Amino acid sequence: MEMNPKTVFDIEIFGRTIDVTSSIVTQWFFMAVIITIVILLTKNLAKIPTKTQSTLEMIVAAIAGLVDSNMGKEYKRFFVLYIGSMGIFMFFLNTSGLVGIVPSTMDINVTAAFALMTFFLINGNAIKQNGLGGYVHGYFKPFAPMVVMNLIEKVTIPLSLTLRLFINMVVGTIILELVYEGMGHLAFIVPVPLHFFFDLFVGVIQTFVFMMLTMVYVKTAAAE
Amino acid sequence: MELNGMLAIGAGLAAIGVIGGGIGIGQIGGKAVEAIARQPEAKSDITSTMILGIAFAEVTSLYALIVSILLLFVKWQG
Repeated sequence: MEMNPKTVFDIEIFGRTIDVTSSIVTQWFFMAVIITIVILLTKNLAKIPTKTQSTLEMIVAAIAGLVDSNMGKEYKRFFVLYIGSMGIFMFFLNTSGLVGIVPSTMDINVTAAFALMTFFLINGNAIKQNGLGGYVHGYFKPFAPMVVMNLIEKVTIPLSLTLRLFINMVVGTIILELVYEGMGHLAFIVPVPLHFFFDLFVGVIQTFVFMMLTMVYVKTAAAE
Repeated sequence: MELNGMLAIGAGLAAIGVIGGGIGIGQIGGKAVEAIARQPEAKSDITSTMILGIAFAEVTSLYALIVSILLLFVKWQG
């Protein structure tokens, strides 16, 4: 099995080659799909909602309720947009194995990018809420030698977020590939429940977990 | 060739660490069922907290799993 994504094409900038891998192309594809769906569905919104509009409103209300119950009112303005769009994007990436596209979240670089976004959000929000002095002071709590442990904790958060999503998607892909390889041309019916579990169930759960963890980390880091 | 056999044994040994995560997830799930049975109206809160707890318990076993996956798929000869 190939762990690294394939290089589709490469760009030369200032004598350096930048490889554009298949996971990036997959992401562009899903960005285009999401943008098209959003533009088509929100083209004619009305005061009296139609069926599709009320479904959309239910999704938005569910995300808003999730952010509200986990973070509180004061975070609602930015985080409903951020968590919602990240969640929908990650949902599409995780479940893309169902339509035969290799999930691009099984590339560790993609999950690391997601985790880095959360990392910057956590620390940026903590600095914004407490000021730079209060943020630096938070490292020396409850007493000064704890600064080592606090620094390790800050690094562990994005690392564990990266590995959690990456390994969950890789395991599913490995097992499905083993099944397809072992059964050869007879592979029908048997992979269906496996696809359901590893692509749909694990993908949805991991998306939910990533959203929840982002909210909880941002909230607790700001409170310290 | 001998190296591949050792890699397979090592991967199997590394995957033993997954036991810990399994025990942790089992305890979290059991306690969550108890809590829901005692207080059915708090089901949605308990479920989301349970999923969060499972995510923390799961990642420790995933660290063991990543070692065995790296041994099998990255270090494998030929």
